[in-house]
Amino acid sequence: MLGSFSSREILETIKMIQMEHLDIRTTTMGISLFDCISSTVEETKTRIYDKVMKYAGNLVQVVNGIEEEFGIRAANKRISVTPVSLTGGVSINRDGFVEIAKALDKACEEIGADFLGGYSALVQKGANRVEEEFIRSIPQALAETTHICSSVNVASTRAGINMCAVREMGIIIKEMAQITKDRGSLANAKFVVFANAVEDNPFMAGAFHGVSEPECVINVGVSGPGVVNHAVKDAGPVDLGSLSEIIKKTVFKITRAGELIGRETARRLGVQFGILDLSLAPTPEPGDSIGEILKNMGLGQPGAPGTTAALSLLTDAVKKGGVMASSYVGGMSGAFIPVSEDAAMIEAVKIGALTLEKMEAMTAVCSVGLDMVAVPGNTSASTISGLIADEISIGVVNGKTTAVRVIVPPGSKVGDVVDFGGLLGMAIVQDVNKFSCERFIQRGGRIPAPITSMRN
Amino acid sequence: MDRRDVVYRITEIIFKHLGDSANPEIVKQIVRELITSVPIGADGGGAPVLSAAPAEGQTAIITAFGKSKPGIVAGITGILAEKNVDITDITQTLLGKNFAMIVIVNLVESNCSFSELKEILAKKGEELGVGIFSQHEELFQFMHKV
Repeated sequence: MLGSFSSREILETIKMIQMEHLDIRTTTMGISLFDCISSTVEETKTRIYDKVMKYAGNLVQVVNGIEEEFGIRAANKRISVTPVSLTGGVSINRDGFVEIAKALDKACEEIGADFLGGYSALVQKGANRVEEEFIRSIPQALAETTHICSSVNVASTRAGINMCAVREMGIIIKEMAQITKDRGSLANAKFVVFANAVEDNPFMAGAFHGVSEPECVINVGVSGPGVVNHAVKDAGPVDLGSLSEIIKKTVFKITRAGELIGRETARRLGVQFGILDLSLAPTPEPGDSIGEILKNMGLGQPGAPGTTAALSLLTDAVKKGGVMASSYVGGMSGAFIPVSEDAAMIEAVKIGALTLEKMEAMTAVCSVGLDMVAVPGNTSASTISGLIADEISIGVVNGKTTAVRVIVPPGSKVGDVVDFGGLLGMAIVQDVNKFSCERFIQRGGRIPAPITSMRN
Repeated sequence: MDRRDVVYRITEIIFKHLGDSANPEIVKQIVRELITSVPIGADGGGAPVLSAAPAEGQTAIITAFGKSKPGIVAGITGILAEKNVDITDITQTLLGKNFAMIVIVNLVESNCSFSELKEILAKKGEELGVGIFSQHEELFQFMHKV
């Protein structure tokens, strides 16, 4: 024993950090912008810029200090704000919203944070005139900024699915792909369509500071696919109940690290600690992969029969292990399967093991949805809306968050590679069902909220 | 209330009672004595002290990893002595073919900041061909103790 620890415990932590990619994936400061709403664009954007600088000005410095002291990497520092569509007031049009996006981008750049989320709208039941104007501003706002992330919530279990918004999403996704085609349609990677969006999500591109959130909070997302992967690998051929136990114990420890960093960051910044997100979020680093965990659980490739079951075990064990380790659990809390950001998933797509349809099935049991999936450039707007409608239905009926982040690089064909570099990784263009859903999508309207008492 | 908050509260109260006669050195001395003589648990509820920490944030764990060779222990402890860092525990163990050394230190009397010490040790590690990692003890506390 060393002090109160055994050497095994100390070395286990060191091994997780040094060899298994354990890090604090994101420390996200949520800032309310409601008190920035003014009568002119000029005044609104000045107030927004000043407020973000006031609260997040030293976010990066504080988090770097904590990283240094505790010896655990805090990979990303991010900011989320009140959905910008709600800050517009009456006089703001499309160009005005783009101006606000630029002011936020400038603040984010000066702070040194990597992304700022919240260029968002919540239109699950319908969009008002300002929100319609806002949604049309999204492609331009993403094309003319570097750090801004955007999301639109088009459905909820209580409101049903706003199919007019779903139709519009197909159109703007194509538009943003086109205007950022010289950058690999990068805007697509920064735009998410949600069902049941959560208000305290620290992860991008979908983070925003919800309307019921306080003035300022710190939300933390921990990552540990690499650690869980090693634990599953080291466990050997144990039965699935035992495997679930091993994952739970491992996740407990990972989550504790996040809880410590989250609390300490909030304390040093003098703001409230919001939540800890229990999601396992992969990176393109070898081994730091959900797909790799699935393979070590016994699947030949992600996408093989059994994948949905394995993923459901993993997601459930992650939640059970993490929930006791943190005082406030929130956000997405599940396993992410962003294809382009996960080396084993990319490989599975490349060799044809993982299809779009299987991924859709997998998202019924994990967070968050069809994430970072590339489809051919000639995919029509209505087909994209169809993909969105399917994924969103899974979330609405199951009372969970689902999302679509789809990349449609103009001119791309099945098998082409879209390389974003860095955390966003590399996507392989996947085949999409060729049959049309045009007439279905053109109907528009709203799919009524589902009945939740008869659960079959 | 966590331990850090307890320390803050105690410091506040001492300052209040000493009034004009309070000076940072005296307050530091009293707080240190209190913390070392009265066990304060992580939840502030009188649970046994979980570590040898005389004060929150003052205990660090230094780990060295690599191929065993002469001079590693001397290299590390030499720096610690020079910086007036007190070693409270030390152990060496084998991890596969590599050796791992763990040193628990108390930084209260040290004459440099934690980040300086960390950097100096990391540089020494490069010289010796081993990885040397320094971390505050709290991370281990959080991950391994419920």
